[in-house]
Amino acid sequence: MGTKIEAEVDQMPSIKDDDFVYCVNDYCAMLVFELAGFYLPGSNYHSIASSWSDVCGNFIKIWDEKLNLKNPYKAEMRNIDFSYCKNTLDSVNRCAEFLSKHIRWNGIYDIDCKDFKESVLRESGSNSTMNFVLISMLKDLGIQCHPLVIRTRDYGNLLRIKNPSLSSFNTMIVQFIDSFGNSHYIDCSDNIYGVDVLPENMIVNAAISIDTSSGTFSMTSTNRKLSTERKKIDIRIEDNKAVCNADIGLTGQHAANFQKHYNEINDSIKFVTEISDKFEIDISHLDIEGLHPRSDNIRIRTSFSCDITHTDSVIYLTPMLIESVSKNPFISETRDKPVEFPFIDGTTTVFTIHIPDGYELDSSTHPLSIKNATDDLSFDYNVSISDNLVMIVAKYKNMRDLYAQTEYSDLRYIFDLMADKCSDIIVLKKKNISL
Amino acid sequence: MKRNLVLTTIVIFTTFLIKAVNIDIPVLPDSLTRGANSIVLNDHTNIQVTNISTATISRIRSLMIVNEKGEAHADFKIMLDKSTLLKRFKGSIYDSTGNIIFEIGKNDLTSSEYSPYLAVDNVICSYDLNMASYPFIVTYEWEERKTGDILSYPTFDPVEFDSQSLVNNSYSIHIPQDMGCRHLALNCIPKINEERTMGWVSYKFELPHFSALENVEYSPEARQIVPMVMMNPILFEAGGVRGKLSSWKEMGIWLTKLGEGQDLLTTEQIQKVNELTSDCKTNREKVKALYEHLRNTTRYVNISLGIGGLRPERASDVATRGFGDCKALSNYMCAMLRAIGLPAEYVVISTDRETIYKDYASFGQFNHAVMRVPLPNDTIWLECTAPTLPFGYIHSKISGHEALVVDGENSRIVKVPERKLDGPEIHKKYWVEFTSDASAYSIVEETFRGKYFEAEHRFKQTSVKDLQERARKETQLTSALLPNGCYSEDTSESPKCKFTYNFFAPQYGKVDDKRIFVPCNMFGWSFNKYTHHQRTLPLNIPYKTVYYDITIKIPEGYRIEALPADVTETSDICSFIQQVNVSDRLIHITQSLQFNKGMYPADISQRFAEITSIMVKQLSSKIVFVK
Repeated sequence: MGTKIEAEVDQMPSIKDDDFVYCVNDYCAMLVFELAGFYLPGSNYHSIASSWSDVCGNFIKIWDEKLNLKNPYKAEMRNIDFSYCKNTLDSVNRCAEFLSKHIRWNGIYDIDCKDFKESVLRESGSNSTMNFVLISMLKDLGIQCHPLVIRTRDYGNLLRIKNPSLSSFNTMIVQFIDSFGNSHYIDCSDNIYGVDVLPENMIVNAAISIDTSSGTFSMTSTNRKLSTERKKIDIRIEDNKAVCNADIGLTGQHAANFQKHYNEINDSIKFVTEISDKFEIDISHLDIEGLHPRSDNIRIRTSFSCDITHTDSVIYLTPMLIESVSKNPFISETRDKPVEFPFIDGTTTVFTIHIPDGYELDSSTHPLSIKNATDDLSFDYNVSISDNLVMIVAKYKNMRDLYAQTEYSDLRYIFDLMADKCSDIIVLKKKNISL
Repeated sequence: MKRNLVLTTIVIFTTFLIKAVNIDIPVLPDSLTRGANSIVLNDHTNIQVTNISTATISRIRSLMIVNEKGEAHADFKIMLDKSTLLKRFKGSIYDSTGNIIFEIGKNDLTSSEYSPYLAVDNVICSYDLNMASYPFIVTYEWEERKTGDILSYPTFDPVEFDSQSLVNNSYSIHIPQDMGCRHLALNCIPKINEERTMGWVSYKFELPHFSALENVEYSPEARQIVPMVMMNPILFEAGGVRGKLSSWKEMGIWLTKLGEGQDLLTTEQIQKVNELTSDCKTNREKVKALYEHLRNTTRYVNISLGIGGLRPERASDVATRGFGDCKALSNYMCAMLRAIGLPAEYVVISTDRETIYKDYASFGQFNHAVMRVPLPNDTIWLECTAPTLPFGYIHSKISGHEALVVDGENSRIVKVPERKLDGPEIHKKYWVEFTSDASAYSIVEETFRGKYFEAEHRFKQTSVKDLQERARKETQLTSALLPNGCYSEDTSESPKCKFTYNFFAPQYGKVDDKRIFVPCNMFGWSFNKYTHHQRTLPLNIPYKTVYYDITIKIPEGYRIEALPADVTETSDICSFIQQVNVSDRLIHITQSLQFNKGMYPADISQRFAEITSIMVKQLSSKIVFVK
């Protein structure tokens, strides 16, 4: 009894891993067999691969006990100060922060919670254990919430699954509804990630929200929030140095990534040294606001100086002094796999260059505006010149995290132009000197 | 007396057990808390050697984890194998005030036999401890029982991580007097107590307190700075062969005995070896022919099962199967050479330490096997696990290292010759000229020697496309068009490899209405300066020599507006010399960088920082042409 399947595959292309790919198997030509179900002697057929609906139903059955979990911190929660919480998002962040002080993430992403009591006792647990505890806490606060199951990016794209099963997913996070009826998500694993900000591996275009009270499910995305980086940099030339004051604002993933990096160094002096070395600058002042768990808004105010190339009568200045997108990451001429970006983001940088007394602008940089055919990726670079000021506004926006290989040449071209623009040089010369 | 020793052991451990449930947080001096991510409060090891093949190791290790950076220090990890069993384990976790939070037992440990190698019999038993708040204290108590081959006793190195300080510690060993043991203390003068009674000898070591050391760039290796005591039996037995570890010679004698009979080949295999060398005119040619055979018919896989971690596989089996580890392949090569009457010596060596402790023989100082052919006036060293390397090439992982020639009574320590280079390790030469839009046409030649030859040598078997991609990465010219790309190798006395390519790069320089800006050195981006911190550790500098030879044609209609100057910066630790010449509308720049291998005192770090800063600035400087 059974079905015999014979498959013959010709010209299977080899595949190698690449940058900007999270799971290379997603692009590998393959023939996949999945167990549809099984018979055990004396029992009925047990289906495994089924519909998404059945899978979600199975999750509800498996999670039954955990979803009715009694909040283990009910008593302690009375001491949480919610007074400064302006909205549901703040309250959820506050609960997650409280939880991270009682249970530490053990480095494991999981989808179930088998050791709940042990985790509370040992102050350590998987992300799913922490997320289930958070659900119990949010329920006590009257916040509507439920699990959101995810297939992390390194595990593969959920949309490629043809035969849904429980193993299509490898972790879960918490989805909750704010007072305006909008849905948000949070994962308790690492306390740098707050509401709607997730570890890169969890930012997916397809996840399934399981409403355990109604038993329904819906497909959603965890890549909805635009992360931004805004920089305002004021540059003056003093003693053959560029003296700069910068005001930088980071939100979303940019804020989380900054915080993660800062925490890894965990030493403000070392942090300053690292930034100084990286950009070849001398930092005289650094003030960072918003460095706290699950912060979604970080503001950096800094003053720094750097050497500039000059002769007796000429100053050469590269305005994109601390621009990190100075290299095109797409080196290969061609590509056989799509390009996956970590998240959608936008960066705006405003440079104001003060022309020093006795100098005049000898040659400047030119505007550039470029975008791809679908308008998802754009770079605008504008220059305005007044008496003694040169103002440059550079805007980069990427609203898509997945580009097909057919779009690769456009992508490479745009990044080439961007990298080139970032190395533009402004020349200032002493007045009344002919060169 | 034996009974007394057991009683003493019980008393000691009962004391510790009582402490485990009523833990007091000690008041520690600043010197031990400064810069520490974790503090080893107690580390007490007790080894009871019953006989040549049985020992019990009991240990208590208690740590204060100060902050998140010390999180990994709290984990428990132990390596077990067929002859090492974990008899007892208990872990206790306390909060910062000394109150117990929870305890763990043997069942909480995770076992993993995962290994990247083909066959090893090690099992890693571990517990990953994550706590929500800091500081906390963790105490592990465990007992291992070793039966069978005991080649060494655990090294006492309680400082296992950087930024970890050490407080109370002891290491006791009780051993039958007729077995004897030897020890070697490194980086410290331990307090030693020795007792001899009724056929037993006991040693107790205590290391001085140790302040946390930060891991900074160019730090010496841990074994060069961290206090430790190494401990070995003098008399031992493994693989059914009894031996002595009183000297390197004795160790060589034992390894010889262990390998006896392993270098035999079958009649057919010997016949094959004779056929392969029948046309060779000299002994060197014969060695080369057999090395070629080894290269073409075998591959390296790591096999470390039991005594197989020390005894090479039978040469005849390697010949049949076509694979083996470093011991097996080296022994097989020895066997082939001996089969045709040529001398061949099996050699054990370390790939990560240059020198060995001359007066302290131990197996742990070696991790690799090679072989050598002592022909008259021409000793050939052969690495049998990397068949793509040229014949007789002494690679950077063994060059200049001390090694043990395993040759019975003639076993001895020798030094592998230092590899000689006939030029800088990295030599990049290019010629470049520009169009009016600052696009560039260039001819490039990159030559690599020594360890850089070994690293780049992988391109020997790659496609032109890969070579072109490599060139784009090296030059950082992502839009460069490369019509060709060539890799060539010179495998003579001083091997080197060379990449040659031409490119046309649309965005090589920047251009505006009047000027063209071009990088002084398109490869100059790859260096970082050393940042001078308040350094206390010596600088451990590896050898490196780089030479750039750049010719830039001044574009028609332009003249030079800005050009880097000549620079000469030299010191004991490194040097940078830049020379710039202009003639016939050609700019010729040479840049020479040299890092001199050695261990330098911390106070030289400021000068090192200055020179590397100048180096980086000059390498990334620009040339400006103006109309």
